[in-house]
Amino acid sequence: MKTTDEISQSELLAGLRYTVYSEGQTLKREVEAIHRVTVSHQLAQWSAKLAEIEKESSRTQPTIKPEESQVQVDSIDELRNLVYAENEKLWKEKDLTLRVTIVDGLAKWSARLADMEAKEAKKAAGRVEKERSNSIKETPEKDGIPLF
Amino acid sequence: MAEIYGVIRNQDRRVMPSVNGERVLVLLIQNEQPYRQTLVNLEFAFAIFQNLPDGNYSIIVRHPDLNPTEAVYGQRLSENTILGLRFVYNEPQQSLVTIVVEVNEL
Repeated sequence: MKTTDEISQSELLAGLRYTVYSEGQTLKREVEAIHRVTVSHQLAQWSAKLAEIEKESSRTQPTIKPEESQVQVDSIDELRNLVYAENEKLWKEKDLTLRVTIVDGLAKWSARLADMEAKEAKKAAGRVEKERSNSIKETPEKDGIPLF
Repeated sequence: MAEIYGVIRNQDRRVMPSVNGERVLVLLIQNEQPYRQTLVNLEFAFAIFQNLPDGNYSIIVRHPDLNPTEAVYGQRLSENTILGLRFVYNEPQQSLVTIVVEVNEL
């Protein structure tokens, strides 16, 4: 039986490709804000790492830099859709130069998404806190003693 | 040829490559015979098995401090299949919560 303590560079690349794809799928399914923050953050981190390794292994640079991209996203939903679509595109793309371009963009978009998801989660937590404090205030009282 | 990816995650969706300082081991059984084994990658907590001929496979995630010590998932793989397995554990309790399965075609 073959036993390996450390995976090879090509296995790392293949595994990371799958990890990024799988994380994108998880992000699409995830409904809890707190988990969306974790998953989008990991996706950003790993797609940046994948971009680095893809550039190294293919010895190519992206043909379009993300900052030069004409794609405009205004809302978090648009950004979620963009990250999901780019992730799917990356998974199916076989051309190495195109892969480098796509993964470079994915790394940048998913980093932006991670920031927006964190803000969204904070807002959601604030709403819950406000509702809770309102419900405490609304508790009926008699002579200053809350009635339950 | 088929491929299998196994990843280890905790209840918060974070990577869980080791427990009590010891890395998680993934063992691959092919047609009821031990075939390959590897420690999960430290940074991303995944194990990968490539160039697998079609057949019956069992993937075992093994660690002495996890409950169960050996978590097993079995599946028949045909050519060009990518099997993705996500073993999700409750880290404080060191117990298996679920195994999420994704099947893709190459």
